[in-house]
Amino acid sequence: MIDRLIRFAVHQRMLVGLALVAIVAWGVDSYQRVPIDAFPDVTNNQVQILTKVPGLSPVEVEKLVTYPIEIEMSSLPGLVESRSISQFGLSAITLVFKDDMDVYFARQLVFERLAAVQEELPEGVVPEMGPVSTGLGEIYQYTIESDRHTPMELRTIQDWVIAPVLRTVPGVIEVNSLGGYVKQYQVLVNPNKLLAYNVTLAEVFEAVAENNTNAGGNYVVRNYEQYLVRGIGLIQSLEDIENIVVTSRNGTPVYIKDVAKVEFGPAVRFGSATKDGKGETVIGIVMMLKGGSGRDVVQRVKEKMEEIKQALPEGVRVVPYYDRIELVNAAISTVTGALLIGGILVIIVLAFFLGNARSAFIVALVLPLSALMSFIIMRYTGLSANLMSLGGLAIGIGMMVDGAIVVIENIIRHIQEHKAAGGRETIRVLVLRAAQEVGRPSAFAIFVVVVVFLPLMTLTGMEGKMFSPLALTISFALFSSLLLALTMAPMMATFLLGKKVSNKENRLVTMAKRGYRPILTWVVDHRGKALVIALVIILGGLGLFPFLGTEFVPELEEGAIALQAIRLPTISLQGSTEICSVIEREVLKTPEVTTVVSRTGRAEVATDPMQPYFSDIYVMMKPLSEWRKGYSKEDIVEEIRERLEKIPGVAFSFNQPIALRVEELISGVRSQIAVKLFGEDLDILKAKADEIAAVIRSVEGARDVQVEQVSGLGYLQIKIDRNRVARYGLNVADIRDIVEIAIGGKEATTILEGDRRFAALVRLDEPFRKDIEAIKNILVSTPDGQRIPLDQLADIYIEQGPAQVSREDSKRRITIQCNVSGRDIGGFVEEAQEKIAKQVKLPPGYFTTWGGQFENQKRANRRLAIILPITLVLIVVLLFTAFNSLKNALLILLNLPLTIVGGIIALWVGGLYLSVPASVGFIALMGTAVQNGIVMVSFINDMRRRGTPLREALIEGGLLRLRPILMTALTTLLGLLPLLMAKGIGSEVQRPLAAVVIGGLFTTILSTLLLLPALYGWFEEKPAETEL
Amino acid sequence: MLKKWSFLLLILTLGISACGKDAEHGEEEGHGDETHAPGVVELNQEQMKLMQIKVGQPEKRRLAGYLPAPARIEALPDQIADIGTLISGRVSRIFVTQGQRVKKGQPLLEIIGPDIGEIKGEYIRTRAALELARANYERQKKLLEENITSRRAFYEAQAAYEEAKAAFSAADQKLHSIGISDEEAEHLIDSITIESEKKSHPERKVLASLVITSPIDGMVGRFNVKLGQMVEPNTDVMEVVDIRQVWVVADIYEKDLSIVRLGQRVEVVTEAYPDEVFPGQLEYISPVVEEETRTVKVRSTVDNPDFKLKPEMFATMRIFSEAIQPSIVVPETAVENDGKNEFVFVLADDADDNDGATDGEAHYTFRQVLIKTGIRKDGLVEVLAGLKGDEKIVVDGAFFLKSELMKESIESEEH
Repeated sequence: MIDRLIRFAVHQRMLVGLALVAIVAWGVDSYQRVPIDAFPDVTNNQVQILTKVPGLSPVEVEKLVTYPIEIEMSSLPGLVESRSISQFGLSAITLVFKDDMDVYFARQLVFERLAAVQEELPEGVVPEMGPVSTGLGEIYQYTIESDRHTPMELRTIQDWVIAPVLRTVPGVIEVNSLGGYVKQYQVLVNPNKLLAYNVTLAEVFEAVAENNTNAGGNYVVRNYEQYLVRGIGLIQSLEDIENIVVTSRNGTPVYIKDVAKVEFGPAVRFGSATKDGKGETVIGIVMMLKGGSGRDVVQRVKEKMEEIKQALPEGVRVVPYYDRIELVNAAISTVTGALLIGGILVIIVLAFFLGNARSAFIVALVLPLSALMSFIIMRYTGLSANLMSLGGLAIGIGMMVDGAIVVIENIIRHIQEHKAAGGRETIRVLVLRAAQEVGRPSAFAIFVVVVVFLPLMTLTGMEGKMFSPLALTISFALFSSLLLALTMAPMMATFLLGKKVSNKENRLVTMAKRGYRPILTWVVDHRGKALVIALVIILGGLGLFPFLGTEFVPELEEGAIALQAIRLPTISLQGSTEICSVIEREVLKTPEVTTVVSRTGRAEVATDPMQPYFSDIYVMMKPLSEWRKGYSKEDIVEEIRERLEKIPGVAFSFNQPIALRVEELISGVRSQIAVKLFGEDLDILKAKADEIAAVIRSVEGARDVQVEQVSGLGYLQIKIDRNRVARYGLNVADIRDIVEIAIGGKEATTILEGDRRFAALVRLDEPFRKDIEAIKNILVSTPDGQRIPLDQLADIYIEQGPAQVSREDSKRRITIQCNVSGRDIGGFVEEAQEKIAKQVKLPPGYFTTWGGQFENQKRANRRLAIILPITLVLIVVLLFTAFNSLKNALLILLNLPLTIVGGIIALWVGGLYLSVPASVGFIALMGTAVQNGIVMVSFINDMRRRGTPLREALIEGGLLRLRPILMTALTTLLGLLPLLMAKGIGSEVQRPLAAVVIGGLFTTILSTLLLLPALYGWFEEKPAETEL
Repeated sequence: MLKKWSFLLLILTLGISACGKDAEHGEEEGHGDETHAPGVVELNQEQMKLMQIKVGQPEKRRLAGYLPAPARIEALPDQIADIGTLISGRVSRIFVTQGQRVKKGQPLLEIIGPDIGEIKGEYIRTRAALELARANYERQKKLLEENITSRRAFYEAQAAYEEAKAAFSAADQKLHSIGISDEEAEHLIDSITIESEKKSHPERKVLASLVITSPIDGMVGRFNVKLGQMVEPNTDVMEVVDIRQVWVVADIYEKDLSIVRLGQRVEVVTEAYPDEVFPGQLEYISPVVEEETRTVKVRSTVDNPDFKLKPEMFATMRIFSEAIQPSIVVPETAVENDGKNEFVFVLADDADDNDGATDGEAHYTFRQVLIKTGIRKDGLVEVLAGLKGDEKIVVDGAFFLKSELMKESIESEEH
């Protein structure tokens, strides 16, 4: 088949040429259509159910809203995990579905269940599903600023001018708002006047609610015409509300204005935004639809924003502070830069070794072409272009040229030999013969590498989402390069490689051979000693292994800092907001920082249910080139941290915007270990969690032990006394209404201003509800017309209560987080579990589970522990089919230990951790090692078959193979070098991988060139009849 | 008071900044040792400036708190007069208008009616008859002494005289009962005498008229009368009221009864005059709870020189419960709570020694001190227990110290 393919390419070279042009065009087109984002999307497949429950406390929210919905959802097909947070006024449930489930189908299922559960929920409470977005969703964030507009006006502009238009941009699923004040028509009732006019709050509420309608009166006919009848009674201004009649006393109407102040006021808010220490601002957050192309959507948003700007009132500016394009471009340019430099290095190496610019050109052409072909495949498999998938291409550079090198080298050799022999064959015939000769082996070599990468695609979870695109693109690219090596290379050779091809031995190669020969001779003669030396190196390398730190996946650099500020739960939103300004001013003292924007509490659409004591603070920085000399991001973070630690009473945690978001979405657990304690009673949970935390702190290596903040929210409790209430003929419901309307304020109706909608709220005026004394004196009307102060009907007191209730799989849960340093996590967990079992007595029904980042790592390790043997077996199988000899196959496998040791040493030298990308590097390394082994062993086999004596075959074979092995190794190495050296955004993920491969290549070369020939004798098949 | 604090602040700030140079050094050291005593917070000068934490001294003074109660203005019952008639008639003249100030005895209106004439006539007639009977009686008496007349005639004259006396007395009573005074009655006779002789004053001739005068000094309030109107004894004609003093009657809910005592100082404020305060004293606490409203009425009399307080006006009565002893008072911002206890932060004494010390220890040590609070008013809190009064405490930004204290619970140190 391969032969036929090559023949076709050589005979139909014009056709193949045209096909190539077509592929280029198709590839370029695909490149433009492939979704592009900075990072692969590692968010799990989830549906959020967000329910706003105005005014209710966490425990009520849990009982009345979260629980019924959770129960209803618990039996959904494909549901993997369900967890929830019940907070003041909000229930947020996250349902995680299997990754292969269509998110829209999942939402459909959820929607059906929501309809069923609706009637169990309190009146007026409507659950909504969160936007179809992911951790990468927040692609564009801006502030709205003005010198002459109030925060309320700016918020109105955001909500009613900017956001509705941006939502129409394709790929935008939601435009969230935070900060400023939402405008409301407020009827602020004076209870003294209620008393004076003898009207009740309920009557005022009713009056406002009832007097805001247009009536339709059908139509009347007059002669041949008809007129529609329309009664106009919609409230259009504050005066309209003021003039609503509440009731009449002795024929005198009592107007709203007689008993209340009517004005525009801010709606109760749960979040605020500040910027640069200059106080309140309004921000908009554009969220992208799941699976969208970050770069394109932002581009469209920006274009739309230009249009919107013309419609904005004078003086209003939209200032973006977070723009995903910058990150995408940085990440992509890191990879493309590596690709480009790698490509150039490879071409230089080729030109150097082949000593022929044309052949180097043909080989180099493989690079862009296979990249384009990969894009075509990516486009149709739905893979997005990002740091990881493009990283796959970058890693593959060196390997992609291998096939073409072999083919072209052989062609050149044939042409030279033919010239030397003075033959008269046409170039086509020569090319065809040469290409067919190496077609199968080179196909085989590439196939080995592809096969090695295949098991990586079975990685699951976060590591799977990160690295399977990488494995896929490498496979795509390698496969494309093979195809090109078999078709494009011979085809081009017929055009470009004429008879005047020279093949002078490169001086460097000559020198290398001169150095290589004596060593090889010694090794072949003293194979025992060689083996011992190899063993020593291997053992030495393995000895380093315990000293390697481990981590899951290195953090992706985003070029920005997202820090979380946490205060005491009792803090007011106002207090939090003010502290944010102080923080911002401190952060801005670092010269690299350009802008600091704080998001305190939760936004309009509470995709991230944060309490007012939480702030996400976005610190945007200048480009790397403008930083102070010698400052790294760590230095800057350290500097900011030091400065912030002076601020008393605030705890900080440093992160990055996307990572923060992703973590929040995936699990909400940041630490390596998370002990989840399940149980019923919140107080017991808290007490036991504290006990567990104390035990964990006593375990060696424990660090940052922290119990989830579930309590400590200040409550003003109005505990209704049923006896006392009954004495006055009142119901609990009456008091509830009072608490709801008088203190909390209740929307009576919605007022339309054009297509803008504003709520009309009835509430007591501020002085009459501002503190506990005022609330105690709120009067409640009894059926007999008496007015009784609330204090006389209920116990009113201040206490601290639950701040939020977290649940997982329909059970209440509290999390104890902890990191481990100085020892392995597995041992730590074992010891901690043992100690806890001994020292903490859990009541029946209470139990713990252990999870966290270490869970990911464990899962990844477990998976890798399966993948690696499978990979080995696959290699053996492949080798066996190739050589038809188990001995040869085993010999080549012996190439691996030394190779792997090289990788370990490289990690150690580079101070890098053993992580998932490093493991991927080891897998890639195995492919290369085997590839090299095959080249060496099959060549020696060939020589032996031709009857060359063993010693001569080993030495000559080694010397002859020196060039191709050095060449393929060097191309791989140099192709990866830019990734190793890169400092740009995203380089940290690829670095361990590159380091492992590069380090391993050195030892692979040694192993292949010295150890294999040395050991060959022991593994030779006596009747040398293998054929390759 | 404010000045005192700011002065103190100034001194402290100066003292602190004197050794503020090594603040960062101190911070690093302070951060190193994690073994803080419970309830102790250490801060350096930079931190204090950053969060605008201010230190001051508690004050000693009497702090008054008050209970606000809904109240109504009422006129004093003896200073309000319903003007009416005891006899029916038609209003012939009106001498005053609404709102006019009147003196006691000043004519308000005049009514004319046949009954009035009859009563007056009866009076005049019986009086004349009395005169006649008395003259006759005295003549008979003299004659009897001189034995000129018979004893029988004397007795007859005596009986007639007694009868006439009784008749006059009845007529006199009647006349007075419709509101005519003795003086007027005398005048009535005179007027008749004059009248019969001089015909030049026709208005005086009208025997059937009655002038109604004001019984008190005051102001014409309610005014329900017009010329020619028939008035009956039960007709509400007008009201004269004196509001130089008024009653303020407040409703006290049962729950607040315990804090209300006779003699307590009160202040009355109204919606109408939000800036004006009318002082008074509690003079009455109702012995019963009103069934209708479930409240207890309390009352104070309040001077109302400018008549600003009007009967039926709504007002708020602030009933002051005054601390008898001057107590330790701190600003509300100084007091923090953790849901159970209230506390303030006291600057540890050794901080003073640190001032200007050469070792650069610029941090300030604050101790958490539990307190018991009393009355709160105008942003001030009375401290009943826990403070001596000469401590330096955090008066602003105590929340941050509390946060710092409880930081462990929110901390996630990721060094």
